[in-house]
Parts: sequence; C-alpha cells; structure tokens
Amino acid sequence: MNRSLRLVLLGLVIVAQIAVPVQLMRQEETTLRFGTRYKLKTAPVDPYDAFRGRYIALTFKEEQPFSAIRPSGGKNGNSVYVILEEGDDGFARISKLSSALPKDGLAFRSEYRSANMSDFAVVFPFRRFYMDEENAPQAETAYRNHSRRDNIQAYATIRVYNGHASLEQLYIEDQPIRDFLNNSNSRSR
Amino acid sequence: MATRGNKEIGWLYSQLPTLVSNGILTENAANAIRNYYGELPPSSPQRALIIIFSILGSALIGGGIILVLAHNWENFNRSVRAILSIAPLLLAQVLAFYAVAKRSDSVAWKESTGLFLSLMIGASIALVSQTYHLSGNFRDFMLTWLVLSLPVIYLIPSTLALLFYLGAFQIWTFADPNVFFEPARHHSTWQYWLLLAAAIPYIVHRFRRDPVSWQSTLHGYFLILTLTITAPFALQYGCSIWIVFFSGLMGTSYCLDHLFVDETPSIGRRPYYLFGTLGSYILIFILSFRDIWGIHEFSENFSRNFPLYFAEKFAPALLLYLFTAWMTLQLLRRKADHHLTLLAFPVIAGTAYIVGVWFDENSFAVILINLYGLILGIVSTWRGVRHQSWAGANMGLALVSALILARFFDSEFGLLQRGIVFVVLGAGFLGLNLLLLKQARRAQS
Repeated sequence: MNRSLRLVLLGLVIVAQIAVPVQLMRQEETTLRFGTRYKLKTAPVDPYDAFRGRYIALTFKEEQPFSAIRPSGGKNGNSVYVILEEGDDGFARISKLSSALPKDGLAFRSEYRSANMSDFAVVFPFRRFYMDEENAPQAETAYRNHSRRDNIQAYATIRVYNGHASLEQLYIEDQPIRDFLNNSNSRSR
Repeated sequence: MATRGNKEIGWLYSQLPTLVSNGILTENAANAIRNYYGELPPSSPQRALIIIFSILGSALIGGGIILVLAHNWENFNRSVRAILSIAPLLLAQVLAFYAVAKRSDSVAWKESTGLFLSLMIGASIALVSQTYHLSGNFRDFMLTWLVLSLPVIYLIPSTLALLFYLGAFQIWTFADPNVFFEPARHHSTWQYWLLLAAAIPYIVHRFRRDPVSWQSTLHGYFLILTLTITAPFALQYGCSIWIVFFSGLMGTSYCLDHLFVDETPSIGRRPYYLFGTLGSYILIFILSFRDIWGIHEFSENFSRNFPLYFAEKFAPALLLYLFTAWMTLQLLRRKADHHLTLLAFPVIAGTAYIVGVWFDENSFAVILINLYGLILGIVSTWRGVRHQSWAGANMGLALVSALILARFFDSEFGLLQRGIVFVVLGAGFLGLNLLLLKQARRAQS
C-alpha cells in the first residue's frame, strides 16, 4: 500500500472514530434541549447494591412488575417502546407499551421482561448516575437514605425526544443531588 | 524476498537522502526502496530501548489521561466536558497521521501512536457516556471499540495496536454472560469468528515478511494465547468439536514454523513451534481421558440446531482442518518424513472424532489416542537419543510416563503395583539422561 492511499484511508478512519462520540453527544444534547420533561420516582433499593464505583445504580418505581397490556411480540429480553403520562402528583407513569414508535416520538426503548404469568416489567435504559469520585460515597448514602420503602423522596428527571430518553438530573428532597450534598455539608459544619 | 543484512539496509537507508538530493534517485524510487526492504528492525540496544520506552510512555500517558478524565469533573459544564472528551482522541489522531505521513520509517513512532490512538478511541466514548449518564451495554461498547481500532493495526501499521486489539477481543468475548450460562441465547459466535479473522491478514503478512522478528514473535504468542483462552467458549456446546479445532490448530502451527522459519533462532522466538509440539503433547494427554470426549451429545444437539451449529461451530473447525491438511502436504513435499509422527495427531484426533460420532461410542477414540500417544512418546524418545536432543527425548518419555500413570490411576491397582510403576518410570528417566550424557561426552572426545 503506498503512502498516499494509506493516508487517505487513515483520514476516513479518523472521521469514523470521531463520529461515534460526536454522534452520541449530538443525540444526548438534542434530547436534553428539545425533549419533553418527565419526573420519575426511584424505587426502594437494596442499600448495598446501589453504589457501583463512581455511579449510583438507579432503579425506578415504574420499572417494577405491573399488569400492563402486553404488546404483540413481547418476549423476555426484547425491546419495547415505553410511553409515559404525567399523573396528578406530577410524577410520570407508564401509560402504554408499544412495539412501534408513536408519531409524536414521545417514547423510548426499554428491555421487556415477563415477571410471572400475568405481570410484566421493563428495564429503563438510564440506570446510572455518574458522580465526581469525591462526592460519590456521600451521594450514595444520601440516595440510600431517601429511597427506603417508607421514605421515598428521591426522583430523577428525564427528557424524551424522538424515541430517545436522556437522564437529566437526580433530585433528593427536591434539590439536585449536588446542591443537596452541598447544603447538607454546610448544615453539618 | 532477498535475504538481507540489517546493517547493509541501514547503510542503504542512510544514503538515500543524499542520492535523492544529488538527483541520482527520484523521491518515488527512494520510497519504493524503503517499501521493498521494509522498516529497519532495532539493530542496537539503544534503538530497542527507544522503542520500548516510547511504547511504555504512550501506554502510561494514555492510561493517565483516562484516569484524570474519569475523575468526572462535575464542576465543568457540558460543553467543556465535551471538548475534554474529544481532545485526547483528536491529539492521538493527529500524532498517528503525522507518524504515517512523516515518520513511517520509525518503529517507535508507529508503535507508540498506534497504541495511543487505540486507547483514546475507547476513552473518548467512555467519557461521553459518563457525561450523559449512558448506561449502555458493556459488550456493545467493547464491540464499537474493537471495530474502530481494527483499521489502526493495518493503516499505521502497528504491532502494539494488534496486541491491544487481541486483548480487547478477549474482554469482549467474556463480557457476554451468555457465553457461560445460556448457550441458547448466545447468538454472537459469528461475530467472534469475524472479529478474529479480521486480525489474521496482518499477522500473516508480517510473518511471511520476517517470521523471526520481534513483532512476529509477539503476534504468535498473543494469537495463541487469545485462541486458547477464547475459542473453547466460542466452540462450546458444539459436541466436543473443539477437539478437531485444536488438533488442527496445533498441526497448522507446527507446519507454519517448519515451512517458514528457515534460520533457527532460539526456541523462545518460535511460538508456533512451541505450541505445535508442546501443545500437542498436552492435548494428547488430556484426550487420553474418557470423560473429555463428550461425543454422545452429538446427534441430539446437532439436528436440533442444525444450520446455526454447522455455521458457527463446525464450519470454522472444518476450514481449519482442511487448511492443516493442505499445509501438511506442503511440508511433506519437502521430503521431511520425520514430521509425520507429530503431524499424524490431527488425523488421529479427527478419525477418532468421526468414528466416535458415527457409532456414538467413546471407547475407540480413547484407545486410539492412548496408543498413538504411547507410540509418539517412544518414537520421540528414541529419536531424541539418536540425535542427542535432550528436550525431545525427555518430552517423549514424559508423555509415555504421564499416559501410563494416568491409566494406572484410572484402574484399581494396589499400592504395591503403583509403587513398582513409579520406580520403573523413575529409573527410565534416570537411565535416559545418563545415556544422553554418555553420548554427549563421547561426541566431545
């Protein structure tokens, strides 16, 4: 292979290599800017399971088994579109599972799981909230204490746009987790 | 290609700029000469050190950048973080481009930029994922990384990029839990073979150009390691087809070494020879146990999953087996009959497998392998004594002893009989080495 051909091919490869992270960023930015906002309650967690390295492992109340109308072709491990609706308390609920993307694009893909004979569950695609390595241990404790069965004051906001969902922020006691940590730090001092 | 001395080529390369500037050679002709002889291997310890340290340096810098950015600078806003995620990749790409355009005769430049670029591709995607809290699937991430770093091996070209690729390939293979637990859902074996095959042309190309270069040696060891670790999982639930695959792989390795390695460098520089001989001995010993041959699952599994099984498990083994047969014929054409004893192994293993599947019975396979192992061991001991090859003689006797001991413990013999066998084998080893020593002394005097 002569040098100019090698350089041309390398140039093409370089473009492809850059395109992957750029495309990821573009999709996330578009969703975060133009997407419809939903508030999702987090689920009670096993306290020793929530924290993995530098991120908080999130689970959501709406992911848990429910008796929704089973979409056609719904099979364990398949992906399915989740359509949300806002409830009276301001938190989002699953209104429908669908195998096709609705026209308004207000849905996102999730993994479909059958929990037992009549109940079904989904796994949302946004289950990690990355933190600074110094804040992470504190954040973990805070999230844990506020996601107990009797005391759920943690929720996340997501944005949904054109069939894609992005995780926007994690809230504890109605404050973004970073503000909450800063405030509780200054309180304890 | 002409046999060449590196010193002469080094001198020729040093003359090229003068020849070009005096108008005796055109720039194109000078480049053609460089392409023909290829890059200069490290001729002095200093050159080797420069290469080693530049590789080490780029690995450390690459790893360091990943760690610093993994701190996850929350205080920066998203656009700053976007720049931080892309900048290291861009830097690596500029360096790689420069290495190919201006430094294509420097091994140090090509190896270090190849490795650095490979690392930064993954770092960039991982950092973006972290900024936007993307959970993603780890296996898909590794797949993207593999596909994007594959061309780096060929275009720079870089041995370190290849070694990185093979390492990442192993991680990708084991990142799928279905590999271990749910064979029915394990549908990506074709991807395994495709990704593996994609790296082979580079290894072959370098091997044919210079089979004993440090690059080829490293390629050999890494390829063998990768295959030994991952192929059993790609072939599992394929009704013991791995037996055919690995016997073929060892046969191919053995032929590759004997067909292409003309000079006889130190044995450590011959990974294919080591794998072909030592690997065969070990595999023969393993196959001498009855429980290894899981042939009885064949009829049930094969018919139930016909097209998939054939394409993903049997076809690769079959292709490799045919290739081994072809290589063996090439080697035998050179009238080198002494290779036959070891090269019979793939044939014996294949026959044992087919007969076992046909009659749904393991006994024939086990007896055949044990007999063959015994004969191989005795022949190589005898040959070792004749040609005063200590390694050959002792390896042969080791195989015979291992087979005898294993069969002895299979059956119910008393302590007395076992003791006698131990003493006999021990005496055999002592006697053999004394004999070799005596021969060596006689040859000296």
